[in-house]
Amino acid sequence: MYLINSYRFQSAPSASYLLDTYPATAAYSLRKLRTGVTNVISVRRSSDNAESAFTADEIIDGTLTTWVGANNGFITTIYDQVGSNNATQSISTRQPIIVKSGVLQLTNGLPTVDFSDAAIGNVAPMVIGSNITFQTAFTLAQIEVLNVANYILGNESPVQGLFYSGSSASITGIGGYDGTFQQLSGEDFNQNIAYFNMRSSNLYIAKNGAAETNTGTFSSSLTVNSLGGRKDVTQVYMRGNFQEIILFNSDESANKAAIETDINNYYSVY
Amino acid sequence: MIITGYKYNTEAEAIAARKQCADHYGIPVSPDAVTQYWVDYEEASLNTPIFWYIVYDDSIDFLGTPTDFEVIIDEN
Repeated sequence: MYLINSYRFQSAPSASYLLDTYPATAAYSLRKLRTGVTNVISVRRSSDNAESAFTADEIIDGTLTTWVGANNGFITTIYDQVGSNNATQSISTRQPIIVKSGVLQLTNGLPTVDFSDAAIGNVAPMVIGSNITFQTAFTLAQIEVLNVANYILGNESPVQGLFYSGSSASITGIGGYDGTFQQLSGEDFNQNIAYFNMRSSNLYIAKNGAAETNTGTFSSSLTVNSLGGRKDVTQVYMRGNFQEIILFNSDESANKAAIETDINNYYSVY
Repeated sequence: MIITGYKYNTEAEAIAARKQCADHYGIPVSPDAVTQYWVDYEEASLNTPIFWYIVYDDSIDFLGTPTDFEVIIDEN
């Protein structure tokens, strides 16, 4: 007589990720955001210019730094964790750094995409394969230098995007540009979770889980084609680092608190 | 704004300089590599006449001595 243990044939419960619950339009992060996602970035190592892709676990478990060795590792691709709209940078001297002299680049103890390191100089944005139109964005970034405009998402034609700060008279904090600037006042060099929501012809913005603020009249959505700046304009490249960008072409104001909480639970920003 | 770099009167000259840099560093390492060039050139499209330029980086000293020139940009 054979006794069959039925539990043995049940699959283990799978972990649930943020975007399993809140399906997004596009997402770029150094952590895994969705079931089924494997590689989150590809890296070029400076020793021989070889390229290799890495999972979120491989970024933090030593696999990445072992592969890079004592030199530098630059990000060539940030994979879209929702679809196939990856962000790439094909120019060596414009690729953001993630391993510097063998050391993983961190913000608040977790890996980051660093666009600002003085050692890499003229870094440019990552180019998104196809334009992305979105209504709501959640971003986690930190500005390190006030240049003219630190765009985290951008488009050069028409000129529009979302920014964290800038040294121009027009930019004074976290905000958006669609031909007109709308923003929260108050620039800082902190790691910030920003929420942007375009609805009812206004741009609502919140920082680090605070209540949203209606910053004024704005487009109903933005269309962007680059991360970490606007293409072709060196003065609007982000001088800082980012860890996560999640875009929804929907009104996610009802899910704002839950999504911000998930981001903060992982990154411990506030 | 003032840019330090290498200025070219034709796009073809800028493309040739870009290729010179890529060849110097053996890029791309394979046909399917994401990294295709070491540096890229930019178009000063708001200047009259238009010109093309490569921003200076000490890794491309072999292009010669860089110069300073004015590039008109949209600063929004």
